[in-house]
Amino acid sequence: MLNAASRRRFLRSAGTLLALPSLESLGFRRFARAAAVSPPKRMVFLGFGYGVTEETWFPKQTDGGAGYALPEGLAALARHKADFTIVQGCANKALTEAHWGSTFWLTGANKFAVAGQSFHNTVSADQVAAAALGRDTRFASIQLNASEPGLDGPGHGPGLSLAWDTRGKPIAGFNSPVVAFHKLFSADDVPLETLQAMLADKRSVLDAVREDAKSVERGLNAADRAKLDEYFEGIRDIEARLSKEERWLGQPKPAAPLPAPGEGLVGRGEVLLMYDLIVAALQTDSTRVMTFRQPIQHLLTSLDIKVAAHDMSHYHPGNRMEASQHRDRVQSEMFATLLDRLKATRETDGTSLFDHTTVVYGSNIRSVHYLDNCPTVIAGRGAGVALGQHIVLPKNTPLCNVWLTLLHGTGIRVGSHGDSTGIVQELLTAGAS
Amino acid sequence: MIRTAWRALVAGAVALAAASGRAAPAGGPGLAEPHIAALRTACLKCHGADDPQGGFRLDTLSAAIDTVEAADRWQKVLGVLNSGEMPPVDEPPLDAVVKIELLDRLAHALVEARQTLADTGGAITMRRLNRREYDNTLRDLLGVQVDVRQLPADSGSPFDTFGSALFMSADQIEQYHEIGLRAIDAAFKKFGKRHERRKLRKEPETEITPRLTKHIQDTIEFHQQLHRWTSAVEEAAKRPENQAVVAELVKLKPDRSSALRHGWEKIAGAPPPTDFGFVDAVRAEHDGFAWRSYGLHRTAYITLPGAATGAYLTVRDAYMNDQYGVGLGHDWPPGRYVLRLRLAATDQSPVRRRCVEYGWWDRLIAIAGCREVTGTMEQPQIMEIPIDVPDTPRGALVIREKGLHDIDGKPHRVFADGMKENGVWLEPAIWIDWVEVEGPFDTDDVPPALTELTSVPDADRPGDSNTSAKLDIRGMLTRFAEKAFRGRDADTGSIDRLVAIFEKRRAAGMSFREAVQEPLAIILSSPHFLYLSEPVAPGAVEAGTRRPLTDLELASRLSYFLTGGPPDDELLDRARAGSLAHPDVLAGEVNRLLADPKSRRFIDAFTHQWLGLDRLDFFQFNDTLYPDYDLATKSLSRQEIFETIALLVREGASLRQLLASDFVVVNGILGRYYGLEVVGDEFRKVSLPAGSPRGGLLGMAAVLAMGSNGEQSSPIERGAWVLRKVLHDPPPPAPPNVPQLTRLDGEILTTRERLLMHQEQPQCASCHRRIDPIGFGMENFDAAGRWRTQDSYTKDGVGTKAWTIDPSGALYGGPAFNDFFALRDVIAGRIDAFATGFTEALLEYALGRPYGFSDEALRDAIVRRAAANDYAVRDFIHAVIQSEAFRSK
Repeated sequence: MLNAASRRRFLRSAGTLLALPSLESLGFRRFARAAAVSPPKRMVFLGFGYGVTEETWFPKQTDGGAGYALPEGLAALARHKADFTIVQGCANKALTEAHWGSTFWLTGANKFAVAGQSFHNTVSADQVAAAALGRDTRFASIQLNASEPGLDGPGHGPGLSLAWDTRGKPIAGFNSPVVAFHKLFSADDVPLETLQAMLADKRSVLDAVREDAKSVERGLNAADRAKLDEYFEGIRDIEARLSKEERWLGQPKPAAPLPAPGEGLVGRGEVLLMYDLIVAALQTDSTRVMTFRQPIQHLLTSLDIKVAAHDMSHYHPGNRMEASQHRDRVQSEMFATLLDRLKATRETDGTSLFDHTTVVYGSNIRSVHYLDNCPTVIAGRGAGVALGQHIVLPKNTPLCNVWLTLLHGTGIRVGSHGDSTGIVQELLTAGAS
Repeated sequence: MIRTAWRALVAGAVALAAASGRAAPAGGPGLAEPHIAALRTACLKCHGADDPQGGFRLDTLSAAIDTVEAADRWQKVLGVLNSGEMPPVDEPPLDAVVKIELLDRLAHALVEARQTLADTGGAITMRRLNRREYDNTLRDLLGVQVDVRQLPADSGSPFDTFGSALFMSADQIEQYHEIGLRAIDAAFKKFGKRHERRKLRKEPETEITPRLTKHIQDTIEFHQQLHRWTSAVEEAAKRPENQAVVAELVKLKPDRSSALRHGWEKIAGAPPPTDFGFVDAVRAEHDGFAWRSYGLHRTAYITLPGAATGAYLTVRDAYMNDQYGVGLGHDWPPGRYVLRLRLAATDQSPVRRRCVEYGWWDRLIAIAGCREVTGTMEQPQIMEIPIDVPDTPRGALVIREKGLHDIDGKPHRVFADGMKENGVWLEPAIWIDWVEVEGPFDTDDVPPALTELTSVPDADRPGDSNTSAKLDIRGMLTRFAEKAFRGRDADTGSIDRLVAIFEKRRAAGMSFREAVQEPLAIILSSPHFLYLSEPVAPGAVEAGTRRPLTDLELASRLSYFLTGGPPDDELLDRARAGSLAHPDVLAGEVNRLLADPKSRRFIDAFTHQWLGLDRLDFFQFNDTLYPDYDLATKSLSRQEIFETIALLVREGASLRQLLASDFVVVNGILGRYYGLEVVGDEFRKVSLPAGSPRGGLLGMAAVLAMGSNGEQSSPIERGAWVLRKVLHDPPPPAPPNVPQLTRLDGEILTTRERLLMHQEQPQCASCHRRIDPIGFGMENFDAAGRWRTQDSYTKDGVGTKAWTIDPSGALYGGPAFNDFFALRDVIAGRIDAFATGFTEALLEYALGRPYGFSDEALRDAIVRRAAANDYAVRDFIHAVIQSEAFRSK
């Protein structure tokens, strides 16, 4: 069913695989790698938007090192204390938006950096990782969002997920565990020839809209052309995706390691389900890079907390602060559950998923309107950073230094990221796995 | 050197302030000499040329804030002053009064500088349709409504028309394509064949009453059987040989009978539950006591006088019609239908409960509207509600009493409240005799874009000698594309590809409709359809210069502004005739479009975004404190604002009416919420009695409710909203990193006392001295916008404090006011500021870009023109459209 052009495309895209042991069977390649090579590295970023209760979440700054006392807000993580590191002192220094906990969290961009624009962003750390880690998986990266409406409002700030592409444009995510599950695991029972024909059809659709885009482009001024470029980029992205799909044709989706979820879970239930999906996606090597923009108001509602999210973030002693602390506890409990699952899930070589994954858990907002000392927890041995530590960095160390360190630790040796000024040496001290 | 820099900054700040028309308060300077002197003294010692601390030099800081770098560095200065980091603790602090003024000026100057730096010089960049416009465009073009919620909401900017925030992505292109396929499919279903009008009639008592009667009989029977079984077990338990066992069993449960029943197997001679018709002891308990949970109120239901001839709407018990659902078969095409009900309010029901709400069951019910019930049991009414039936798959149409199902747990709570009163249930308020759905009514109104396509028989197959040979597919696709592209032609290359795709599908054996669906969906995913493009005429125009729009471009810009959708045929005809650009013709079209019901798509969307009404949905109202401000009422209160502005546009009335007026635009439910005697569902103008606090935005429930958190009023939210939306004096964004106030734990403060703590620190005072007084003046409205004179605050474990509200205060810079009425008068006097803000918002919405300082002359001209006609709202709209900015590329 492949016509000549798409066959050429197929071969071209398949060409990238020639260096690998065998072209004849993608399955064999995966099998061979599993047997011979250590499991791949993964990165997961969990953003909870509004910050934490400063008084009860952060360890005392004077209490650095491995022997620090775990404060109440993190107490639920006690069983993992040796396996995560908490970093204090970091900030995205250009940020001035007191309610945007996620928009620049992984990018470190300056909203005002470009004259003539009222908004500017740059690539997020997860997408830098995806460019390197995403080549051999069905999904280069997966973005998850809680189903809560208005998640691009106060708390997280603008964005379609935590991820921003290389052009600084927002990347959409799956807004429900149900959708994510089906994308990951629902089988295509369509015959191979039909799938190939469908791909060919999709390409002819793209060719048609591209033709129209070219005719629109004629006569546009420079600014308009730049705007229309987004459309062309979109088409190119779909084509890249189709090439990838083509490579995966005939490769059945993995069996789901969990039952299909039902609709309607919100708040705590949804977070736990998303955590299960994260483990499942990594375990089946469907992707190696994931982000999750977590619920805010829905979480409170599901805990029967009557305080509105923004009010809670402006806590003071009394029911608002209690709400904020309650939220911290539950978030830590859920995070601890995720770490349990990562540790319990075995790779083919007998090591655990935890051994090869970096999980970052945090927000751009410390608490209330504070944007310095962003809460930052790093777990997992994927980047080889020192775990079990409480590291207090000089005030206003660029948060991007942490991202850069994690990227390097994962084998992605980019020169800089965002406004980074260097590597965080403290994260690299000996003793890491 | 530093002297020069600071001088220039002052000059820059003053110039900016003057240019914005938003100068510091009357007589107030920009950065005055005392502030500069203070900064010089406080900062230069460490941040001068010699070995500056932290590498930060103030003396080289560029004077005017005219570059991103300068703005960033000044932002740092503002940041460290706000966070209290500077001056350091071991250095002398800034004088508090000086610091307040300095922060105030610097914060405003930075906002203005950012605005200047983002100024596009008036250029309007091509943009795509936002989700709302895309939805409207599909409706207008194809006559169907499809679910577009999978697309991003485009709500991140002040207005969803801002091109710079309307991105495109691979996901979106795929979604447009998929939604396009669905829309074409729905359109063929709706218009592709003649649909007989049909009618479904349901007599609800035929389902509900017999089911209940049977259930009641069963539960009575079970209850009696349980009683019989219990007696038999008790009888056996009396036997001497069972005494030891019984003594053990009764320890397990406080209820002796239940304990014996659960342990019946250990009691010699006790008969098994199966002898009495029960599966086992657990089920016996459950079935036997169903009577307790349901019997009483279900019996009460079937003994009501109307239960034999109709159905009552109840709450909590799904068996008893808590929400009445009507399912439509999936062979019913999407379209316009009528829902007809014969119904009545029960005699003893309180007036506030005489309302129904309805909507589609779509996972959670989406309320489409609510209606008052005016019929009586003596004389029921027939209610007709026009409804849009969506395409399949769709949930059932649901009817229920208003406000009882807003949140989880509410049905149980109101039911329990009723039980407290009568021992049985919440007595029903609404009775329904019958329900009808009739339609569709609009499947013959085939949209022009589809007439040709729907005339080809559905079953046409390739090789069908009757039709295939005659199919002019190229012509059909060209004509459809021209409609979809709002009068512009698709180029031949694109049409070639579409024809090829069609032919390929035909060759695969598809019918005409199957085959044509794909090319049509491609047209609906093409940039010509998705973008409002305005190419430069060939040979003309260099970068940076403006040109007048062509008539076709103007037609689109106009219709997307005033109707949120594509130009209709009349507008396109004017454009093609080349007369649209003539000011009189243009004004005539503006009037025509404003009279079209589609103009509500503009008024509602613009108003919603201009006034920031999304905040209404940010929180749930406490329904114990505000039982009458339920979801339906909240939604009506939002509608009140839209209806008011629509009326001002319709009647050529003044913008002043939004600041203070002697009327409100309400319907019965909302009118009663305000204590007015109004009956009926339609919104209309109602005169207010003298001394009413209503009339104008400040007295509207939705505005007041936004200024709360659903529990308590928030003077800060209200004050900031008034500054932002009414007085054109927006406070700078909440600054990051301001230290928390010291707290007075263990004390209960009045709202005013609590907020006055904001004056403790200069960082807070610089904004809150403007914000808080306005909020205090509005404290006579509670969180849900009802009038009050008392307020109280309860702190857990400390106690409760009640106080009489003191609404007096003074605007920053004067004048003082004694109460809300005086405050409203002061604000009503600021019509110029209000008109200025309104104009900026209107320009932003219409032009699809942020207001910039380069728009200042235009804005002022528009305000002047409107002022000449007492600020008639229509005049603002006309002036924006007649402006060169609106009519040029």
